[in-house]
Amino acid sequence: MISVLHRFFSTYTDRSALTKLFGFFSSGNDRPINPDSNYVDAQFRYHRRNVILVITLCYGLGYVCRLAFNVVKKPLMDAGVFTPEEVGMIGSTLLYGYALGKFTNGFLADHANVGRFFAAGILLSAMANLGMGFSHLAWLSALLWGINGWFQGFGAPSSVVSLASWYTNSERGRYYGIWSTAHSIGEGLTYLGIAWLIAAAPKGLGLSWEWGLWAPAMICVFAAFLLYRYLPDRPRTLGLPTIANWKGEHGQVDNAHQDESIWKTQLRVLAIPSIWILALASSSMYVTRYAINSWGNVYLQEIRGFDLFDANLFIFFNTVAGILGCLVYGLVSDKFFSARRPPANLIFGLLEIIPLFVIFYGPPNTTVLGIALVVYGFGLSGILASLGGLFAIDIAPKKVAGAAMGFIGIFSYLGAGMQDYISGKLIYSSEIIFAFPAKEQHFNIYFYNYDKPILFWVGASVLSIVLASSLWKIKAAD
Amino acid sequence: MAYKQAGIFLVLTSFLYGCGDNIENSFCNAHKDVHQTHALDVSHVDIEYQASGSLTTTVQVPLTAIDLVSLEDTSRVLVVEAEKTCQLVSVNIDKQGQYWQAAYHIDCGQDNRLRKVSIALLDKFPTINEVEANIQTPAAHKHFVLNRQCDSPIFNF
Repeated sequence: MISVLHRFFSTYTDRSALTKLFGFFSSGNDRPINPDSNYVDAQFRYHRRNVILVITLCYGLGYVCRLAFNVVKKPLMDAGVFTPEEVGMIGSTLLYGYALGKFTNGFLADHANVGRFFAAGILLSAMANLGMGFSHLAWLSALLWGINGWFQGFGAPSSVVSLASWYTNSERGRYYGIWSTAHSIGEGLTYLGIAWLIAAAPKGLGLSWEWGLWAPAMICVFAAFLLYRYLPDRPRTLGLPTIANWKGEHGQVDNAHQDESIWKTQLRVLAIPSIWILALASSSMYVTRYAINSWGNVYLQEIRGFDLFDANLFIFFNTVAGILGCLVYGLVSDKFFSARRPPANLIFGLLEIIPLFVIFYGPPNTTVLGIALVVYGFGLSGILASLGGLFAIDIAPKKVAGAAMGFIGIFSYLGAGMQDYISGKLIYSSEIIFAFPAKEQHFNIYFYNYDKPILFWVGASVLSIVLASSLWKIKAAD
Repeated sequence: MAYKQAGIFLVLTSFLYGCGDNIENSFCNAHKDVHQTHALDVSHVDIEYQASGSLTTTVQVPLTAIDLVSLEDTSRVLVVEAEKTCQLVSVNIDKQGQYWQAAYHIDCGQDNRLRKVSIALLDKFPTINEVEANIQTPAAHKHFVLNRQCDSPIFNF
């Protein structure tokens, strides 16, 4: 796509600024393969090590710019800058932007120099975070955060294109698993690191809420630099053979649809009923996932009485458990159920829903709450790895796995976006203000009731597990 | 090169530390630890709001800070805003040692949405500098101190 636009503007606008821009982001031309096999081997070893390190680290660092707003929600509400409804609305714009970004940038990333493309996305995301720290206007913050969502959508497609370019079919799953832990790394950094910056002393530095957005911006600028410097373009643009040729490992092509165009196969995916059911199941699970991510720390402070640092520490533990959940899900479904996802989905679904009941309706005991959050994080990450991607790739023809994932992704993030808005509205509708006006300043203490949002969050998980279980007999496609 | 990177890191770190509003908050941060030593001398507000719509506000203020007539005038002490009108059920005022203790019982009804309760102690009575408040609703409980010198409520003291 970028190459086509590049050619178009080269032809009709005589090297305009736009042409130069597209040229900058386009993947380079293929170069003759270097005949020195030692050089080729050394280059592959060097770049393959860099790629997995850089995409994992930088996707994790970039994630901080996606989640920072969640940490500053409570301080923003306490300071009276935004109401919960406004906070919910702002939060949801990122998810809509991300849903769109994941889809559109997926097409663009296939044609891009991913190092530059990914770096630009993260740099622009940093700028959006910087701007958010200066904004006290709900509409401006919503706009900036929505644009940030689109910029955040540069990361996943670029990472997947890199994984496809530098690792073979047989090893991609393993590397995909390593890269997937970046989500948890980013969440941990946000809910511990950024929370530490703005939590009150002595547990934190006690910086104002603005720093909860400016510090992630600095982190993302650093990540953008690393990506620009260390994430390479495709092997062929560097004078190296393709990864399949270098390893001598070629994938099997589905003969039944070999001649069908990718566009037609993509359309055929949209007619598979199980893909729609899976999209709804994933969307419902994303409601719970983002509800806990977005409102979990606010709930723990408002209702359970924890301070900002402790509340985010709980979310951090939950996130760390998620790293293990991702890895164990793949192992369990592959080894114990012969790569059948539905049984593993049910087990991990129960590991997600039971702790959720304990968290919201269980005894008010800190240890019980901590354990429940850890088990919840473990179960959720496992089932999300399946519903949000792995199961879709199983069901869909492999040559359009990207389209299947994009379709599931759009549904998932629309669900997540709607969740933030609905949760914010439900929480705001229960607001009671206890005001203590004074000559010097007005103290407003806000009280919210989470009964209705909790029903919404738990109900979404139950629906998701029921939908996923209805696909019990679905078999993987070739 | 390494020195240069370390220098940049130091500048950024000190920038982060330096921009906190620690100076103006030093009294308020310190007050968390010392509040208990004078807790008995400050005014107290206890509010209990029940799911049935019953709102009980108990105010305890030093005799020197406020006169009986002011406490008897409910509108000078608290204002309740709800979807529908709330009814003042009773006001009981006692003298307890060096304090006035006034209990205001208001009934808002079960199907009424309580929006805002304003407690005017700091606004109407300039001699009151600090209030310790305890508020219980069906969903949450909050315990905090309000001091005129602080920008925000002090929790976890």
